[in-house]
Amino acid sequence: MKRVFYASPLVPSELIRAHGFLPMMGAGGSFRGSGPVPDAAGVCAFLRAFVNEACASDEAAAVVLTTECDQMRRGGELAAVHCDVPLFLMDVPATRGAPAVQAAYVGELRRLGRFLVALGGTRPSDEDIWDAMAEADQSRRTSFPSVALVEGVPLALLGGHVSGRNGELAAEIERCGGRIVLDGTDRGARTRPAPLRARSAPDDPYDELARVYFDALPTVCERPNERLYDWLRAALAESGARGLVLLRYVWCDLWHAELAELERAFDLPVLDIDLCGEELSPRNRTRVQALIEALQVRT
Amino acid sequence: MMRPPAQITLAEWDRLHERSRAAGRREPAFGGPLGRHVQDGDVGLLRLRFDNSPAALDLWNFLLTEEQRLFAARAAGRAIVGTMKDLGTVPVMAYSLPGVTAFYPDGAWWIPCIMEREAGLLAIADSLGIGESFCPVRAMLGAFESGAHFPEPDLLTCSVGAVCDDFSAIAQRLEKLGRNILWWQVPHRRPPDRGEAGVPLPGGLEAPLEQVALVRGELARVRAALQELSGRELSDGDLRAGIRAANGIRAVLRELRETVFRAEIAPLPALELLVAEMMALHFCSDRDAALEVLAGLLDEVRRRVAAGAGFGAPDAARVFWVNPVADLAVMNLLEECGGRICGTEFLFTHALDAIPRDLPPMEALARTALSDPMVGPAADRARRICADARRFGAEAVLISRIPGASHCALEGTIIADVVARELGLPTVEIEVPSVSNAVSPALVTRLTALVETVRMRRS
Repeated sequence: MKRVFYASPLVPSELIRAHGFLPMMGAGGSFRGSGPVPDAAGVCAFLRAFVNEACASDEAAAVVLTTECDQMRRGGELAAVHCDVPLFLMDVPATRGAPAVQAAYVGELRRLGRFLVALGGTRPSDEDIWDAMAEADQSRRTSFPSVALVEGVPLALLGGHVSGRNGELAAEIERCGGRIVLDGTDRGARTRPAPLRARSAPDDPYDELARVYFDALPTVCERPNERLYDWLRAALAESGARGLVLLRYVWCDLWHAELAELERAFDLPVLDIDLCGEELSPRNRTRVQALIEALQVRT
Repeated sequence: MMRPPAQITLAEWDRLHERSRAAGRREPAFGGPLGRHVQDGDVGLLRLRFDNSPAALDLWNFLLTEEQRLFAARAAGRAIVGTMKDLGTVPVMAYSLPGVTAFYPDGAWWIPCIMEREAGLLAIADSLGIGESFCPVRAMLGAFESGAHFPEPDLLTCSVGAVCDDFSAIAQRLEKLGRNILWWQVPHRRPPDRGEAGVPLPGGLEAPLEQVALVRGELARVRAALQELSGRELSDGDLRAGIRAANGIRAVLRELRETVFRAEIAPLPALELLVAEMMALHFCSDRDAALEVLAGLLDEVRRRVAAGAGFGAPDAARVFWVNPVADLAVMNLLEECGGRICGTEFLFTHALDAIPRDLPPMEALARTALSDPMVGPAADRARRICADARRFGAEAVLISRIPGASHCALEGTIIADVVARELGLPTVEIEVPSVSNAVSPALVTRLTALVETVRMRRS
């Protein structure tokens, strides 16, 4: 099955699947790969890795980028010119609540569907999409974001895009005597879609996708982004985390700008891990170690 | 009698001003010697070289007295609207209401250049977690917190969606610091898909009907907020009058640009042209005075063109400048290095294009907002740059990066690619911080190399 690479949790994977493609989220670990996005000053390492990796894949049917961040928009433009893999740029509004804004998101889902059909994907009926949604919903109900079972200082992880670096950080935290009790990255509890509602016959599957994704997921790009803090407040209390680790890529302004507010809003130590793409630097390893040691002393 | 054009220092201007005053030149209410601004803390002016025409003096004085105008407006009981990010649309609506003054707090990004360390705005931004990795517009955060540069707005609006991440992040920080912001959505502009209804936008662009409808709906929320603030209806008639007035200023600016770019010898330095273009955004907080200042500048330019007078040599390299600079002093370097301005794209061409008058006003404003170069693909910008560069006979394109700005990491590459492919012109990228003294030698080297490349290509 051909793959469709995407980076944002606001792209419903079941919609891709319903069109006969295999959805692939995030980037692997090949931050050194070359491709349409150059290794230039100011370029987000995740964007570079994600786009270059997807464009280099023999199995890629398409790349789906969203407009949630500036660099993704520009990276998409470069890829469209310099890469043979078809690219779809999906506009994801930053505001919520207004019917017209939600309709715009629904309209983009429909465009994505037409794009996938034009690529040779199947043309799913509404029934097919509902089936794919039900399957994804069932899968989410029976699986939970992976949380380490080891003993150690409980920590929450927060941040955006997911890559091979996340696993390295989790391993480092465990090695230093910590454990992740809350994953607030793009592949964790924060981006878990809302449960599907019981379906009525005339319901439009795209509207329901908007409800379970667009309406439900708190993101850093949302304006205002109060829902992110509401979610985090509740999730931190429930998880028992004693520290918060912010995992961000250098040049990601959206997460970087939240650092000061995260420090102010929660009565927890916040560790800022900035990644430039290569493996976790000695500096960051030392900082992880220092945070955990400090929390162990407090116990 | 016309004064021979020259670029002079602030001290020279003050002596010249004294002589002009003694000779009986009448100045507008905001007039006076430039030196007084330095005494008020604008020490960065000492690094600049200014056009020596009385019209340019009025331009500078108008710009440098904006803070006083804003505080005076507050004292006079006018409603103050801070319109963030959209660069050119919401102020047209706000100024359609009597008793409302609108301005872009974004403009605070020039304060560190004008005042250097005196203002301390970047240090305040640092202390609020918005450090050097962000665009210099972070000075806005410092300006809000210091309260010294503009009155606290009664209403704050901010366009979001397809905008730069720095600004969106900084505005969000501002909200977390206690400001209420009316966020309005602007989608990423795209051409209509096959079979999808589209509408033309100013600037020769096209967008799907649905995107325009979305923006129109979002601007309706802004309209409602302005009505609530002012306590009176903002009618279509009011908006039409506001659009007509804004178009008047845009028309003067378009003629100014065309005249400057097409002249044999540059009749206006790059620096003063940048300042003049900025007036399109929110009229420097006084729409009527802005029109007078710009009209005076256009008259001066026309006189110079008629007399064959201007700056630099006739064979100066004709350079198209892309993006505004955080440090105004860098614009002076262009002439110093043997270049002249011959086309600009300072990220707000939509504030220079005429707002359509044959449409209902909200539809016209929505189309204008959606033609913002920032909300669409960089390739759209590049195509307009190419069209203008060809029209004005530019021989090179200079792309000025804004340090830390998320859009600058890749858009320069995209623009340079298109320019090279379509025009075959040399391009150079420079990065300009708020105070560029430390990197000035490197900037001079790059500008000189660009000018030399142009000369080599001629031969």
